[in-house]
Amino acid sequence: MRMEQTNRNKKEGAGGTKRFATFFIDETLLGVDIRMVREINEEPAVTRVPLATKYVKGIMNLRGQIITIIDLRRKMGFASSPQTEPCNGVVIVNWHNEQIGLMFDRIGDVIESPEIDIERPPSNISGVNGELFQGVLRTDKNKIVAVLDIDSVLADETSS
Amino acid sequence: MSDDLSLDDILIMYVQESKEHLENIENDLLNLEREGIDSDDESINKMFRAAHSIKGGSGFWGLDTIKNLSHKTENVLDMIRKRQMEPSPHVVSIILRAFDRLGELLNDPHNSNTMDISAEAADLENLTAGSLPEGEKKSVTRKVVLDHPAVPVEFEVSEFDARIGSQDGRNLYILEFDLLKDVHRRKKSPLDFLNTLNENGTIVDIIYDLSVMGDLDSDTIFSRFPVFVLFSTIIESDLIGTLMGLDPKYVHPVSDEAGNGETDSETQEHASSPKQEPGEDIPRKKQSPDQAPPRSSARGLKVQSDSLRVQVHVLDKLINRAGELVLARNQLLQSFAGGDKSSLKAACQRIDAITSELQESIMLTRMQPINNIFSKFPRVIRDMSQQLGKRIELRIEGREVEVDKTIIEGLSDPLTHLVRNSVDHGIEMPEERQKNGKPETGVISLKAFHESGQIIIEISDDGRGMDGSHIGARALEKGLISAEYLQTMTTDKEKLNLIMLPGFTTAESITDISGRGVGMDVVKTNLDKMGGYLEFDSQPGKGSMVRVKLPLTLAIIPSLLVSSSGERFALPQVNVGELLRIPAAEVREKVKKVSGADVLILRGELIPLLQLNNLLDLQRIYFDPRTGEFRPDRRGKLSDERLLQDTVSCQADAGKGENIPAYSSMPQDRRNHPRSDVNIVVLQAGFLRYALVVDDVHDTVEIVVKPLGRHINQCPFYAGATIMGDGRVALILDVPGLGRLARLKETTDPVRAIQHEAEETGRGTGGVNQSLLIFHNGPGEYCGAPLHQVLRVEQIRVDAIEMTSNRKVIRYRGGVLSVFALEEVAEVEKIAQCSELVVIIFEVAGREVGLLAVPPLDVIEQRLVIDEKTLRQPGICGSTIIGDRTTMIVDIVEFIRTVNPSWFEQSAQARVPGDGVPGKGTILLVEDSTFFRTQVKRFIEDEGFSVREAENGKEAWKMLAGSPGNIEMVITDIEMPEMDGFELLEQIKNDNRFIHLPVIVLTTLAEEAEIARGKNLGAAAYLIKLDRERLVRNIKEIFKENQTYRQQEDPVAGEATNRE
Repeated sequence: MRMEQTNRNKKEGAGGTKRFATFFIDETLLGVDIRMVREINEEPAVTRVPLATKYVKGIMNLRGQIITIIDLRRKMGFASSPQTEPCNGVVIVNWHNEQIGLMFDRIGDVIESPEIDIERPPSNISGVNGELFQGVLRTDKNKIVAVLDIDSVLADETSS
Repeated sequence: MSDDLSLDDILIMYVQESKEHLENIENDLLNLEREGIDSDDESINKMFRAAHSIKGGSGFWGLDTIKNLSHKTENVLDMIRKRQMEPSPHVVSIILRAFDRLGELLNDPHNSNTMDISAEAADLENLTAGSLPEGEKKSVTRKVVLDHPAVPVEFEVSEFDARIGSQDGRNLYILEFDLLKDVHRRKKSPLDFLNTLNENGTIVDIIYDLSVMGDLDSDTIFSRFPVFVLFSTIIESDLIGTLMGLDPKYVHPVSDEAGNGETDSETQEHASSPKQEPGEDIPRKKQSPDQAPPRSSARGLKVQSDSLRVQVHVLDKLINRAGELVLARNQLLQSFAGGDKSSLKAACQRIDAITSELQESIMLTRMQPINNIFSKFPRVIRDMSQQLGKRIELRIEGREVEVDKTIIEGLSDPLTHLVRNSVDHGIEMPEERQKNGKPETGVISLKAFHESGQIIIEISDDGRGMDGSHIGARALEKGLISAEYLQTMTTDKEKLNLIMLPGFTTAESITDISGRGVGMDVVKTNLDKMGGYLEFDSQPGKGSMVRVKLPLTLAIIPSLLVSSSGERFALPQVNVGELLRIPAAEVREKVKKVSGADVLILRGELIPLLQLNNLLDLQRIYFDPRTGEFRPDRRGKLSDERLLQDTVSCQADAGKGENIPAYSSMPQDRRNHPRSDVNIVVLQAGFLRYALVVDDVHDTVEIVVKPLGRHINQCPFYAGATIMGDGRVALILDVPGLGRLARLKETTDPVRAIQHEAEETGRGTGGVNQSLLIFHNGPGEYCGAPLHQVLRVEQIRVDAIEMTSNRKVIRYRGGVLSVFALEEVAEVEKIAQCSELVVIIFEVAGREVGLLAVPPLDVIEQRLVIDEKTLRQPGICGSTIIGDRTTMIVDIVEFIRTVNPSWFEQSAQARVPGDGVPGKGTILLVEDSTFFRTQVKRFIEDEGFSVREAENGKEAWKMLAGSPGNIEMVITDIEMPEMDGFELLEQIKNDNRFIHLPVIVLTTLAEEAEIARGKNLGAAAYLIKLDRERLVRNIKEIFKENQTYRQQEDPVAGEATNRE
C-alpha cells in the first residue's frame, strides 16, 4: 500500500500533469510552465532602452525592481513590429534569480496537460526558430500551444 | 532552534563565526610580533581560542583539511601561550600564512578537503618540533591510537597531542554523544554543543560514525546518530556527565597504556625544561624572502559582503519608523475613503516625513566603519617591508569614520594600490633615508575624516616624494601629452596629476609590488565609478600625499533629469559641470563644425558637442509652435547649414511630401522660437569633458540606483535605472561610457588639433570678453556678477530661509549656508516678494556664501565698458550697459567684507604666518582700463602690498627702467594700446636686469594658445581678471619662491630657468 503510494508520487513528480500559462503573439498561442511564472501584468509602462539588443523591448518597474521586457516577436523572428508599438502585457518569469517580462499581445487560459502529451515540435513551424520550444501540445479545444523553452529563449546571445 | 535550521544553514553559521574569529587575528599577531614574549596573555588566548573553535566545528562537519590545519596552528599558539616558543617574525609569518589559508578554506568549505595544505602544515609541524627537546621531536609526527573497548571507533592522533591532552592534571576521555537525543531533541544547535565542550576543556578530535546508523534502505528507523569526541579536561569523569547532560555510561576514560604512559617522564622533564629557541629552520627564512608567497599581500583584502552587522538601536529605529508608516498608511486610506481633503493632505505630509526618516535610517544600516579596510593594511605593510627590506611604521587615524558598504567594497583595491605605491615608490631604503638625514623608519599614515558631506581619505608618506617637472617630462617622453599642453601647466600640482594618465609609471623598473603596468589610471577609474576623485600633493625629498574624496553613499545619488525625444534620462550630478541654453539665434555663433564634428565654443574653450538623441539613435523631434505638436526633425548636426538658411531647405522639406507651407512666408521662423533654443549640459568625468545636447532639462532629484538585467549588460553607457515619482523607469546615463560611445578620447588633444580654427573664430566673434551672471533683486534693477566667481546656482523656496542668530541661513548639502541679500549693504531694490528665489553661491575667504536673487537668471558674454563712478557704493563696484539696461556689477568680496568683517580677520590671521610678505613688495600694475586697474589695485593693496600703476606697456617699461630694483613684481594686462602685455613681457625677459622679475599676466579670457604664448615668454602665471582669491594666492606664492631663491643666493642660475 505504502509502496504504491510512493510509486504514484514518483510518477507525478517525474511525468505527471503540468500546467501552462498561455498567451498569444499574433495568432500563435505560446505556453510557459506555470511554475516559472511569477505574475502577469497588463499594460505596463515601458521605458525604451535605446541601443539595447533588438529583442529587448524596454524596462519596467515591478514594485521597485527593474524588469527587462523581451519582445518575443523579434526574438523568435516573427514579422517584426516597430519599436514604438505599445506593450499590451507581460508575463513575468523567474529565470536564474532574475525576473524577466515576456511581452504578449493577448493573454490566454491556463491549460493543464499530462506531460507525456507534449510532442516534439514539428520541424516546420513557420518562420520560427525551433530550438526555442520544448514541444507542442493540443488543448481540449483542439488548439495548438507551442511550449517555450525559457532557457533557450532567454539565453544571452551576446555572451556566446 | 535547530528545528528551523537546515544542516546547511548551520554550516553557514559555523563559517561565519569562524570568519569573525579570523577577522582581527592579523592585528593581534602583528602586535604579538612587535611586543614579543611580553605581549599580554589575553590576545594570545584569543588567537588560541580562534584556532580552537575553528578546529572544533570543522571536526564536526568532517572538514578534515580545516581541522588538520587549525589543529596544528593551535598547537603552535599553545606553545607560545605557555612561553615555550618565542613569537619571532618567522614564527608569526608562518602563523599568518596558516590563518590566511584557513580563511581560504573557509570560503569554500565544501571543497576544502581537496585543497592542499601540505606546505603550511609542514611549516607548523617544523615549528612545533623545533621547540621541543631533541628526543621528543618525533612525537609530533608519530601517531598513537587511542581507543576504548566500549567504543566502536579509534582515534589516531599524534603522540604529542595525546601527551598534551593528558598532562598537567588533565585527562583524556572519549565522549559519546547522540546528535539526535543529546543535541537535536534538546533544541540545541551543534554550535551550542561545541561551545559547551569548549568551555569545559579541549576537543582533541571528533569522529562521527555513520555505520552505526545502518543502511538507509533498511526498514529500521535509526535511533542514534553518535558522535565521538576525544576530549581533554581537568574535570572528573563523573562530573562530565552532569555538565554535558550526558549519561555516565557514554563517558569513557582513556587509559594511560594507550601509548601515553611511557612518555610520562619525558613530559615532566619537558615541562621543567628551559624555553627552547625555535629550531634550526629559522635562519633559512631570511635568506630566501622569495619563498614568502607574494600572494599573501594581495590576498585576503576583498571585503566580504554576505552579511552585515547592524547596531541594535538602528534596527529599533527602523522598526519604529515602519510602525509609523503603517499608521500613516491607515490614515491615508481613511481620509481617502472619507474624501476629506485637509486630512488627506496631512496624511501625505506625514508619509513624506516618515519616508525620509525611513530612508535615512536604512542608509545608516549600510554604514560601516572604514576600519574594515584600514585593518588590512598593517599586514600589507609588514609583508611588503619585509620583502623589500624597508622599515615602515603605519599610523592610522579615523578608523571609526563610517562609509557606505558599497564604497567600502569598491575602495579596497584602490586604497591597497595607493598604500603599496607609498611603500614601493615612496619610502626609501633605510640606508638612503639615513644618508638624507631622515629617521631610518619611514612613516605612512592613513587618515579618514568627513569634510563637507564627503569622505576624505589621505594616504601620506615621508618618503622621497614626487617631482612635478620630472613627471611632466616623463609623460612627454612617453608621448602621453603634447609639449604645448605641458607648458600650459603652471603648478607642480597640475603636473602630479599626470600620473593618472593611462600608461604612466614612474618606477624605473616595474616591481612585483606596485603591480605590473596597472597604475594610477586604474585607481582613478575605480574611484571615478564611485564618484570619487584623487588629488596629489608632494614635495620632492619630503614625502607625498594622495587625497581621495568620496561621496558618503552610492545608493542614492543626486542627479539631473533631462529628456530627449520624449525619453527621460538621469545624469549623475557629480558629472554635471554646467548648464547652458543657447538661444536659437545664437547657435550659429556658438556651435561650429570642425573636421566633421560639432564643437561648442564656451568662453573661448572648445568642447566636443554630442547630441543625446543622435548618440542613442533616438528620433529627433522638434516642437512646432504653429501646430503645437512635436514633429520628427531630420537635421543631422546642429551646425548643419539647414539650420541657418531657411527658405530653400524648408521648401525642399515641403517638396518631400511634408504638408507644411513654405517658411519664407512665416512672420517668425520656428527655429527662432524659444522652443528651439538649444539646451546643453556640459559633462565631465576624469579627463573627459564634453557637451551634451538634450531636448529639455528638468529638475535635480535624488535617485535610487537600480541595476539593469543581464540582457542590457552590453550597454556600458547606462549606469543603471531608477524609478521616478510617477512610477515609471528612467535610465541613468554613464558619462564616461557615453563618451566612449561617441569615440571621444580622454585627453584634450583632439580639441587642440582643431584649436587653430577656433582661434580665428574666437577672435572674429568677440575678442576679449567677460562673462557676467545677470540677476535681479526687484523687477526694475539688473545686477551682474563675474561668472567665474560663481560656484553654483540653486533654486530655493522662500520658506527654506531660516533666521539663526540674526542671520539668514539655508540648509544646503548637509550643512548650513549663510545667505545675504544685496539690499543689506547696497542701496538697491529690495528682494521682490515671490515664493521661489535663487541663491548664487560664491566662495569668499574660504567659505561658501549665498547671494539671494529673484529668478530668472541669465548669462551674458560681452566686452564690458564699466563706469565705476556713477553707481559706486559698498558692494557695487560699478555699472555697465548690457543690452539697453544699466547693470550694476557686484563686488562680492567687498560685499561680504561689509556684512561680515570678522571672516576676513580670521582668514587673514590664518594666512599671515609663514607666507607673509605684506608691506614689502612693490608691484607694478599695468592695465589700460581704469575699472580693472582700480579693482585689481584694491585687491593687492588689501593684502598689504604697495602698488604702482601704469596705463600701458610703454609707460610701465619707462617706470621699470627708471628705477630697477624697486619693483619686485609686474602684473600686466595683455591688450593695451602703445605696447601690449606680450611685448612688455618679452622686453622684460630680454633685459638682464629684469630676467628674474616675476610677471603675472592677467586677461579676461584664458585661451590656451595665449596662455602658452605667455608661458613661452616667461610669465610666472597667467590668470583671469577679477579672480581675486587666485591672484592673491599666486602673488604670495611667487614672492615666497623668490625669497627662498634669494636666500639660496644666485650662483645656481640654472635653477631659475628650470622653474618655468
